[in-house]
Amino acid sequence: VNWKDRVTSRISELNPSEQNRTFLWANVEAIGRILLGQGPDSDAVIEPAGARIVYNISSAHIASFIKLSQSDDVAPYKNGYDLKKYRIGDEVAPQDLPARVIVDQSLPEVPPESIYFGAVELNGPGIRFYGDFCLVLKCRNNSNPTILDRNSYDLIRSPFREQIEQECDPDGARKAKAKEISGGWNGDLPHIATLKTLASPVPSERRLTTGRVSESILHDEDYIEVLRKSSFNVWDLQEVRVSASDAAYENNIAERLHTGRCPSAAALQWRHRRRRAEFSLHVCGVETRIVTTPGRVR
Amino acid sequence: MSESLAWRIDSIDARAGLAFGSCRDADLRAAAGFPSLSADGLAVAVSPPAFEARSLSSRATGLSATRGSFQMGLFVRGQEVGFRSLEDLCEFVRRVYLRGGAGDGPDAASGQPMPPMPPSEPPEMPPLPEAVMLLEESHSGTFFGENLADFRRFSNELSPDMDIVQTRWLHSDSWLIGESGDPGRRKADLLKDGNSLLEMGCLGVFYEISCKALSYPTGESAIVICNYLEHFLAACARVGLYDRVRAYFHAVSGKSSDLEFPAWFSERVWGDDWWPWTHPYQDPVEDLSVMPLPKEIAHICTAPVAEDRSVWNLLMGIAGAPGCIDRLASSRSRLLAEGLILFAATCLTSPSYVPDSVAVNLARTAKGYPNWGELNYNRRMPNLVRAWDWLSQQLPAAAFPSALENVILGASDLAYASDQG
Repeated sequence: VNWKDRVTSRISELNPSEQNRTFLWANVEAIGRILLGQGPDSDAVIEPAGARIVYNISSAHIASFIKLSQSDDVAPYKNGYDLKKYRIGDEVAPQDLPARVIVDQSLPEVPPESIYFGAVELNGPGIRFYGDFCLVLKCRNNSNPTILDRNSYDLIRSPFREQIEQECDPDGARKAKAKEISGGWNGDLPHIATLKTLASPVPSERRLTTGRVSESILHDEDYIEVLRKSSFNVWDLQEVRVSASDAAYENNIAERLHTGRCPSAAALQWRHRRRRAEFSLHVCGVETRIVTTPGRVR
Repeated sequence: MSESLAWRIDSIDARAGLAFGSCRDADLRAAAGFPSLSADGLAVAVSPPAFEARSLSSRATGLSATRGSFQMGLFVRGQEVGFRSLEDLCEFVRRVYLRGGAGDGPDAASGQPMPPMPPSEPPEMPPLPEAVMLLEESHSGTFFGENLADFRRFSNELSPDMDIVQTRWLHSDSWLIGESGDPGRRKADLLKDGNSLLEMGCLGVFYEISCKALSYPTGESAIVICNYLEHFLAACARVGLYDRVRAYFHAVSGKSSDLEFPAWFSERVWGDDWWPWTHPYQDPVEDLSVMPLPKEIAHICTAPVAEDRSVWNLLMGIAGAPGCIDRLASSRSRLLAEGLILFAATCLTSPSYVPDSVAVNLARTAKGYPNWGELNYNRRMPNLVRAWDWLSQQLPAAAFPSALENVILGASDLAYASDQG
């Protein structure tokens, strides 16, 4: 897998004019610099800027995450295997749920129990679907993890699934596909991010903005997956991010509460947990930032 | 279309109230072979606080959520649960979320937990005021006991089949006036008994805090209890019950009493230098979350019992799964639980602290106007009706079969921290 060659091929496919080609390559270089946290004219790294590994988690779990961190638990942040008893309804053995087994057996990293799946994020609040609090790891905690250019469960959904099932050895084909969409953080992330950015129309004679790059890397449920081989604790966090829309909602709940138009119990609980989570993180020295613009660097 | 096509949960984080669902056959189990492709395009994400469903382009997002805190699928009695409609699924997730709130412990990082009661017998407190005792004697059932019985009956009448779950939706005022109730009669009941019930809840908390204050008159614990007392008194002022707390305290700490309350306690309840409306906290949710739950009803929240639960935990627990009241054996305990949630709801829905201060100042400064209790009583009535209206909207909108109701009930026992596989 050579992601750099794929970028070159992609630019050739776009068949730009000479002038546009110049801009495209300038933009490609800019994407690499933005991911490293470098400015346009200097190789110096602006400390809080650049791509990070992020994990979204509900504010409901922050108190437990902190408690586990404080008690020196080996894995304060839990993956699905750690939490197999955290469930409602019947207990189900992992082998009875084939989707996960099939995907995990295809991954380039083993064993799956040791993998803590995160996402690459630049300036945004992560994958909101998985939790309202986006835990951002400090840069120094990256040890060149394997990354996938998409959600690994895409391997069992359309259109990959149909392609894979056409092969005479679907399991082998799935592993090959997983290999094809994977790379390393250090060497391949800028190229994978570039391909993601170039997947949508890019202005031909304009320079890309940081915000545009940030939104290309992680947008709604479309993200770059990180297969990190260890958990982390609260002191491994650079910061926690929340979305501006959630913050606005939270304030609206407070406003209604204080003016006598009582919001729903669910809304009050949601706000209460968020407030407590934010305060607990603050006590641990971790600040919670509201993401108001994807171009923010500090 | 397959007969077993239903709205099913791809993944759910119960405490977080986050879920991914799709309209499909039961396909997550190994016996089904492999997750089907049929649902792509009919996949949704549900999240608090509104529990609206948001459309997704692929089930991959929901399945991938199981990498973290989400469980894959929901299975009950050996079947993958299927809901008839997306509304049913959203209501289930909402109720699980609320019930999970009963399991939230005190926040160790941001506050100090309430000191536990010493193992010895708590100090003997004098009986509650007459009106509250009359309420106890006149009620063999509970205040909304009829409605709860209806809810339980609906649940039991539903088919136990989990493949396609039957749901009974209640009408919007069901918890207020019953399924076939008379709104006029119910309102009269509210005015007749609601005030005593409210007092019972309020004094139940005061009793608990008083016992702790008597047990921990000095030291670090006393500071914590004092802080919680201030929150409680601020809530009482908001509701319009500060005068009743003062009157009760005056009665129990009089000359004939053997109880020796710490000076900081008496000063806050009865003194001239501290008033609840000068208290800096202005958040009724925060007030409720530090009010200790009377020990006799603590097991309504979680199993096994956690002694550090608050009135806020109780409110969330009952709002999500009112059937938890069945864990209380005596009618007194049930009345106390209902009194506490009514007190909590009144605290949340009452507009501000200020009118009570007006009433108290009138009482203290105008010699010819001694009846500030009556003023507060008259003020409490609209607050009470508003609280019941609000509470009835938070309680379940639909009953599920009893097996699923039990799943909701158990959501408060889930813990991210201690539940490692």
